[in-house]
Amino acid sequence: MIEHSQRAVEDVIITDELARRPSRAADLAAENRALARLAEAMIADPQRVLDQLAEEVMELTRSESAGISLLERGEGHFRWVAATGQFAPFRNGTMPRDASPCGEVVSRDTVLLFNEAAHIFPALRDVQPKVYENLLVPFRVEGEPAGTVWAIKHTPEGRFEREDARVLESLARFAAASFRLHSAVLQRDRFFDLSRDLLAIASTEDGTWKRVNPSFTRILGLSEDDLIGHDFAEYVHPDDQERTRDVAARLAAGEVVDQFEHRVLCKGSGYRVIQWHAATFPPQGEIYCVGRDVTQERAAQAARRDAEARQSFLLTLSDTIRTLVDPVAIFHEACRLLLEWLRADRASYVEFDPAADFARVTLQFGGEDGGKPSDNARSDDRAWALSPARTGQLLVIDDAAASGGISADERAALASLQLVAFINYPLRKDGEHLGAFCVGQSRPREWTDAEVELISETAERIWAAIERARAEAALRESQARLSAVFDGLPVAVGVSDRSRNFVLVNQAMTRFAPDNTMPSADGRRWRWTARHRDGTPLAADEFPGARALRGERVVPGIDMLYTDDSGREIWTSVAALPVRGAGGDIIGFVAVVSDIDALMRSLESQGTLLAELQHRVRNILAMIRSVVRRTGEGHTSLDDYVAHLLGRIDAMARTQVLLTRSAGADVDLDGLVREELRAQLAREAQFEISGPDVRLSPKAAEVVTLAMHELATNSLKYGALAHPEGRLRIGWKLEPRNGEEWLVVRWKETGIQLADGRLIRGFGTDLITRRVAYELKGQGTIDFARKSVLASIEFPLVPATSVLETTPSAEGGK
Amino acid sequence: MNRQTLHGRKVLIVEDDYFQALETQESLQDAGAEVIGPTGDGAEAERLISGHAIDAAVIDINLGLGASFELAGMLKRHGIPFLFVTGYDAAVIPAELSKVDRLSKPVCSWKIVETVETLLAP
Repeated sequence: MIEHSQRAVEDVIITDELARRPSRAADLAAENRALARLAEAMIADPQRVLDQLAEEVMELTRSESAGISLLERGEGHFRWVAATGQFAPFRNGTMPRDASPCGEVVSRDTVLLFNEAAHIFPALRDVQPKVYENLLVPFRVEGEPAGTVWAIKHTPEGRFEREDARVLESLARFAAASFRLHSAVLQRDRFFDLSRDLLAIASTEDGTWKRVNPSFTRILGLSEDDLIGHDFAEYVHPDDQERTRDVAARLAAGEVVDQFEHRVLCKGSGYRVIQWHAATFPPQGEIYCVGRDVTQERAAQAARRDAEARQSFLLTLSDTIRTLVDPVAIFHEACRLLLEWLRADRASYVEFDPAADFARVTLQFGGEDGGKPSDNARSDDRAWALSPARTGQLLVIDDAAASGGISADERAALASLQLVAFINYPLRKDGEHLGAFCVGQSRPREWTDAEVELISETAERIWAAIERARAEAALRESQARLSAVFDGLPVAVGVSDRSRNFVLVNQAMTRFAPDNTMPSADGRRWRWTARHRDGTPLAADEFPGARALRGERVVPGIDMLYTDDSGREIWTSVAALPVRGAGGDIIGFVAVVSDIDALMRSLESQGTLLAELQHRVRNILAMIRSVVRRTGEGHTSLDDYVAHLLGRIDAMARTQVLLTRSAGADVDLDGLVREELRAQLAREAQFEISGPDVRLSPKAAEVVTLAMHELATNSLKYGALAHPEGRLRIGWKLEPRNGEEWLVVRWKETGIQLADGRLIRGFGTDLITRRVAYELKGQGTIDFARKSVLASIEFPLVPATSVLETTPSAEGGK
Repeated sequence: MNRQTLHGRKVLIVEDDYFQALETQESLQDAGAEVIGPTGDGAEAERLISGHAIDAAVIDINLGLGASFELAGMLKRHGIPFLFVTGYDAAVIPAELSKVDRLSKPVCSWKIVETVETLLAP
């Protein structure tokens, strides 16, 4: 069947005839003209080039119809993409591949000439006008047959020649090339249309757009009509025009421009930032431009830059105000920075008291007040602080004169303050509305969100800093007070670490810790001693600090002796408490040292006084017993007895007065003697006293006083003082005997008559002759001659210290 | 005080205060004792102890040169009973002498006599 068919196909293929037929010469001129027209059509309208080809084929092959059939991809038929002449009506029609000569040509990929092909291909049978000879050549795309170019004779006598086949092949090759070019142009145009970027061609000659892609409409809202033939800088932002022309000049000079950016007006929505990459291609003199919309990118970058700048500003602000301690200084510095940054001219800090309807401008910077904090102001005096102060709402006013949110009164007040644009940022704490931070200026401005944000952040920081400064000031004050108290404490207080080094001491402690350790051991001496009850010394690990480090609370403390730099021992009471860290472990101790020296000395002195008193009372009583008993001897009358007794008791009383001036005080011999004589009412002219400065111990003073009393009493009654011509001389001297210093007192009365021979005896004699010997380890004598009385008392001035006498008993004179 | 309870007894008085010594002496003498001393001097007292067959002693701890217990030690060595007449409290008395009778000043002389009697009781 197939063979039969093939045979039948061969019956209508008469290609061989071409070789046998005579052929005309090639008309190369006509052929060139045809190719030139095709080339023009290619440039003018690539869509039309195949139709033009068909026209040229028909012309050059002198046929009645011509056309181009292309296999549709994936389909089993040809489409007549071009058709002219008698078959022009069939343009764009289709024909099954198997039922047409085209299929044979594509299959064999060669020139075929058919004669009355309708005999074989039924599809052609009913086609009018009737097809006689039909010459076809393969139409190759990329070397493969993809269709045919054909020419038809519709008359029986019409004959194709070899020349027709050659021309047809020539034109078909050209058409195939054109087709490829066409496809490339189509592809390019599709990219051109598809591109998201702006693609355009501009003229270097007149600076107008030649061609623009649809992205111009999509991105900028500009149509071809808006652009083609218009200056390419027409829609550029006025500020960018000059740069744009500079770049155009560079392009014209052959430079390639990359990443040039300018702002281009977008119809209906401001400017967009376009980044261009462009180059000029001479000799056409066209600028090829590729533009990209980087508006969002740039906005994001700008926002980032703004945010960074804002962050940097806030950091600077924080750094600046952190170092300040004065709330006013904090406010002024912060405002100076903020106003400089914003180029605004004033700021204030308003505190609001809702109960009193008072807005107090507590801090102000800039403005007509020049930064002076204002006095309390009724809120309507400061209208610009009013609304936010009342409502606690953020208020952003670009132009007070034009803003609807401001009452007439406020507007007038604002006008008087020359305050036109301002932001009032409410300050809240724990939900309570406290006041506002206000920034303003005398000219209108459009506050940006970023500025509002910045002001709010600044306000919060200033506020926090001021609160901190106030708290710190209060703390400092409190610390200063505490420090003053600490330093002024009458006790020494120190905080020591575990190594017994003080980390904190008050003034008083410096005295007890010259090397800043506890217990002080500055290398020169061990300064602290203490004793147990039994008199044994405390070991260092029994000291209060050591005990506190073991966790013990040594309170109220133990008595310790501290040796100061001069070697003086000072009684102290030392207490210590452990200091525990967060974990409960002992990190040191607090030592408290009280100077109880005066107290201890006073106690000691009191004890001494008490013992001394007991001692004296005992002596006095014993003496009185003795005096009472011995005075009785040798007196004839009771009056005489009483007088003697009283005189002796008075003398003892005087001694006591001298001795009790202070505990353990010694007594001046000269004063003692004069006092005694004065008490006896002796006339100054009658006695003479001479001797070096001598001080007597209490016991010696007592004995000497009583001796003087007895002698003076006797003298006044019977001796020198009883006679106008009588004279009394009392003298004393110091002399060394056996390595000791002795006091020798001489009593000498002259010019007397001892008529009845009454002499001092009994108690008085006993006192001088025996008590001096017994108690003072010396000797006393008394000698009564007829006209004189001579007594002597001699004893060593050795320090015969009683435990009850706290100072040396006697000292030699000068 | 005329009971003569201390008749023939030799009692040493060591007391630095003349009048106190005198009174103690008189009281002991009233009780029939033979008083050795009195003396206020430690060295003298030692001589007296060595030179007399002393039966008992009345001693003031303070003899003018501070507390001294040497005399007490000596009496103890000699087996002579004695008592302290003192203004000191117990704290200053050495442990080995803590059992010695002690009369705190001021003291009545009859109390001294009574204590000496106790010391010498069989």
